[in-house]
Amino acid sequence: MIASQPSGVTQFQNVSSVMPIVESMRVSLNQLILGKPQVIELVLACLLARGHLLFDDLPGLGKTTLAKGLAAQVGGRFGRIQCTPDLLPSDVTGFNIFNQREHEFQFMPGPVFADVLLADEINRATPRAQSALFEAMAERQVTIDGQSRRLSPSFFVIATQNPVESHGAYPLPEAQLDRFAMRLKIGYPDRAVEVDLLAAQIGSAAHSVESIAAVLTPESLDRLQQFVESIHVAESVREYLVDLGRGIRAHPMVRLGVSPRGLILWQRVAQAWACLHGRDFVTPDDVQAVAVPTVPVRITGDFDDGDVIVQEVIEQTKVPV
Amino acid sequence: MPSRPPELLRRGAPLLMALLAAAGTQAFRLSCQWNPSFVYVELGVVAVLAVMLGYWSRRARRRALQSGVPRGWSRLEIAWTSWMVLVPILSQWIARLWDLGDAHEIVVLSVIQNGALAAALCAREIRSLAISVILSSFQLLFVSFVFPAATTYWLAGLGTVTVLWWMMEQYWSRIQAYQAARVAVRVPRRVLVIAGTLLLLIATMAMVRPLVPQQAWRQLTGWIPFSGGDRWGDVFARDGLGQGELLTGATDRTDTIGPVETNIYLSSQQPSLYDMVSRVYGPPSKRREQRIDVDGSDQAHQHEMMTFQTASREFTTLRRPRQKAASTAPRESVAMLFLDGRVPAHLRMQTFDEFDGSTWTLRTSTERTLWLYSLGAEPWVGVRAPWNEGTTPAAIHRHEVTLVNLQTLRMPLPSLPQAWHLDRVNRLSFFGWSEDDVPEMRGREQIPPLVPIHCLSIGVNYYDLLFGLGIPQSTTGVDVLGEASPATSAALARWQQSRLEGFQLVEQVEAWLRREFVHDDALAPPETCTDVVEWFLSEGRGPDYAFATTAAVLLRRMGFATRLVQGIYVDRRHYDSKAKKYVAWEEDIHTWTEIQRGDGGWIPLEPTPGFELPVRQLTLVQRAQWWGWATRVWMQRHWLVLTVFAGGLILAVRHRVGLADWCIRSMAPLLVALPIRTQVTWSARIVTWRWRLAGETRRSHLTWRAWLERLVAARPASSPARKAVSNWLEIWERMHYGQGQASQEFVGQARSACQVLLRETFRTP
Repeated sequence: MIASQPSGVTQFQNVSSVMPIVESMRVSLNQLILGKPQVIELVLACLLARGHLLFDDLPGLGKTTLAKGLAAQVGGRFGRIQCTPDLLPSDVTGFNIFNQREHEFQFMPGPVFADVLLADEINRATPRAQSALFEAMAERQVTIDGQSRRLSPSFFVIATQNPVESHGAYPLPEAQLDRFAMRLKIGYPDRAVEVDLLAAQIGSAAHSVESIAAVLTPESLDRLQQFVESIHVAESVREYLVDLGRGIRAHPMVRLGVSPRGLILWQRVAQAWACLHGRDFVTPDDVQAVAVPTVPVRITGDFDDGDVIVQEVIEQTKVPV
Repeated sequence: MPSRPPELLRRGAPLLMALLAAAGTQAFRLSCQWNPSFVYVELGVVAVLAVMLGYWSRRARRRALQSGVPRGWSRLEIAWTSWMVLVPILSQWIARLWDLGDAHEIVVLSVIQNGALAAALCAREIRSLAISVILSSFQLLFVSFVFPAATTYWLAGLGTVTVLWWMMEQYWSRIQAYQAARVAVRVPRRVLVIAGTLLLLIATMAMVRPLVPQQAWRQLTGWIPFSGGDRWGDVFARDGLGQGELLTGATDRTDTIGPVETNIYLSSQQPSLYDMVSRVYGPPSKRREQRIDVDGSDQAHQHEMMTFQTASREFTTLRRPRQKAASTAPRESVAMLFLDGRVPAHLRMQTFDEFDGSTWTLRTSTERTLWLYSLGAEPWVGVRAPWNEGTTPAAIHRHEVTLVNLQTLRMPLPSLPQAWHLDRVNRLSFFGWSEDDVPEMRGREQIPPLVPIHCLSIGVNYYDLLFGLGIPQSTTGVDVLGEASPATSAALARWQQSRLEGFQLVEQVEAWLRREFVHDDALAPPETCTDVVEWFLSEGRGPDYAFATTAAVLLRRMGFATRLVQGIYVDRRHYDSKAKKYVAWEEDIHTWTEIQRGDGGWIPLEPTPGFELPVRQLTLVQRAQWWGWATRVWMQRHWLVLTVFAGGLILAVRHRVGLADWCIRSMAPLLVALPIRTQVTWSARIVTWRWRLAGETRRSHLTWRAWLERLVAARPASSPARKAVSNWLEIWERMHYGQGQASQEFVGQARSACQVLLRETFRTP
């Protein structure tokens, strides 16, 4: 049941009250990005889990469109940073400028003061600029000239990086990777989907970002995220999560395993996944379903594909009950 | 990946170790007690204290965990622990008022045991656990050395594995982490260490056995000194004449004087076998035999020569049973002999081969040729007999018999003796063979007491009895007295109908007597009885000589050569851990039957219940062959049942899934009566079993949803099975991972879902 407060902020009492909104977002985004329902499901899970998202994929696959569409649905501000080697931290966070008329410093907010921020080709920014995002992503605040400024409570970063061009790129350090909830690949669409995609671009019937209506306010999104955090996780499922985390750490090919922060994020994404599927409790299926997008981003070791390691550990760990 | 709770292992292993050590200590303690009542009382008190301590300690730990403040032992825990440690001392203090109690070492062991138990129960940190483990290990080690019993070694083995496992969890996890970070290959360390330890133990035992072939597993004893107890100890095991210090002090020499100097030895009457028999079975009813029934000190030595010369000629089964003293008070030890070697042992001392219905006498005489040879610089007297010639025997048993309180010239040896050796006696003229087939000393008054007689004897090979030498059966040539009585005829008739023959038949008769009749020493045939066998078969109970007589007579009527034997039965329960020998007392005088083998050797049968069957060995290969043969015979006899059963089994296996589905569908309605949680759990189990039958085992990493949805994926989306699975999964997940109390509506849905799942899932689509 959905209850509205006098201020207009939606309250979520149970999971069935969430489903209409989730369904609406799901439908809109599926119309915007064709043939990628699984990716959209994970993006929504990431959003509801208060996580940040890293797209590790080639250009032109719809990353920006997806980010814009998401921002449009949330009804909040959309910010974008095109990362280049000469990007400065103040270009990200904003800066104080002296207003000669008022004779005082005036703060010019940077693009992080948005509800949805797209950091395009983040690995092209220097580590100094990348680190400017650290505080914003982890604590949802920035500190400029000694003064902390709060960001939107539903601040959501979608970063992209191009895995092919390594020249002039600065790989993200492990500490920053650990702040992302997920790393996703969109991948090329199927042939049939591409045909439909071309057909949809003909004439004025094209489904564009501009045609997406907001289904939430940033405040409602914050409430929704709070509801997701309250979804029940049974003790056996928590133990299962810990067993998986410890199993990954003990894997002989893993040098840096899942941190406790990573486990917390993993649990929250599983909660969001359960909510997206209409459940007010988490099952081991939810934990397994979000493991591959959530875990490999935060582990390093002597392997090329972290997905394989995660899958291997899942196959060696007994599920509860 | 690790899914076991490490806390359970961390705390549970020392507790388990403490319990194992306590079990070992108390087993040892009880073995030393003739009146263990106070031990039980003490153990009860300790158990109550331990339960209270465990409960309180757990509660305190939980509180500390909730508050986040680590705390040491509470005053209450310290008080209870102190009581636990003091209880053994207090109990000794009280028990000794009644002339009960334990040796001092056992008291110390009990104190250590309770300390280890308390440390394991109250442990807050690894140090307490380590102290507990060390104390328990010491206990088990000590007990293993002073109490050589199979139980102790099992406990010690289990304890070793437990300690190893615990140490791996506590200390070697660092090695595990180090190895996991550097080596790509996973090494199962726990399995390797434990298997390696066990293999090492087995290898050590295998190496020790050839070096110390007799009682190799007892060789640990003596490494740790033990006082042997005190006057409160077991009168049988740890004090009394010749059972500890005396025998330990005696050397393997005939001129040993130590024991002779003791007052007890000098005042002992040194009874003869005849005296023993009379005491145990009561005096003969016939007057002519009463003149040599000696049961007091006044006729001490007058009867001896008469006994040696005449007593072994006759044994009447018409006796007046003595009333046994009904006292449970400790009595002085009157150990007759000690035995070291394989038990149970039937030590033959005299035989009878003619029976007139009530009295056994000796008719035939036997003479064996002896020869002297040297083995290990010791003179051995060998026996020239058929069983010592020809093929290599399956087993040679070595026994050491030491007479303590028995005046006799006859050597109590097992059947089929091969050779014996007595100190440095190296003249054949000192030994001979009695008419009734028993080796004896000659030219002396008695076999010197406390000098061990070493004996080698041929092991009775069971396979040989069945398929090799066998037991000759003939309708002529076996002495049978007159016509069989009605009861005897009836007994014989049941065996004539069977198709058994040879030793199989003998075994059946032996087993029948052991199974159907009751051993009762207080009963004896009436004085007017003319046919003891008839009396026994109609009475259904009687003393051991009645069993032996009946077995001998029945087997003779079936055509087997049998005889009655009197001697000493050495019970495996009568082990003296101080002297490291088995003890036989006056009560161990026993009568049994012997039957003649194909090679002329006589082997014992034990028809009396309560006495162990004589050792009949099989080699490993023979054991396999015997099982093969027994199986074949059984199958031949029950071929029809087997055929029907095999046919049914084949059909059941071929149609196992359908059969299982049918059973499940039939039984599913019964589940409704169960509580809802049990019903859901059991429906899951049934589903798992059924699909396992169909070759679809659920792997432990697969969730129920992933597994079940894959199984019904081939069916149409609208099929009842898919719906049933979907509904049931919702119920299952909500029940195990959801929260809150289940509503009545939910319970109703769950019951329905379980029924539909079991009904629809297994219906052929």
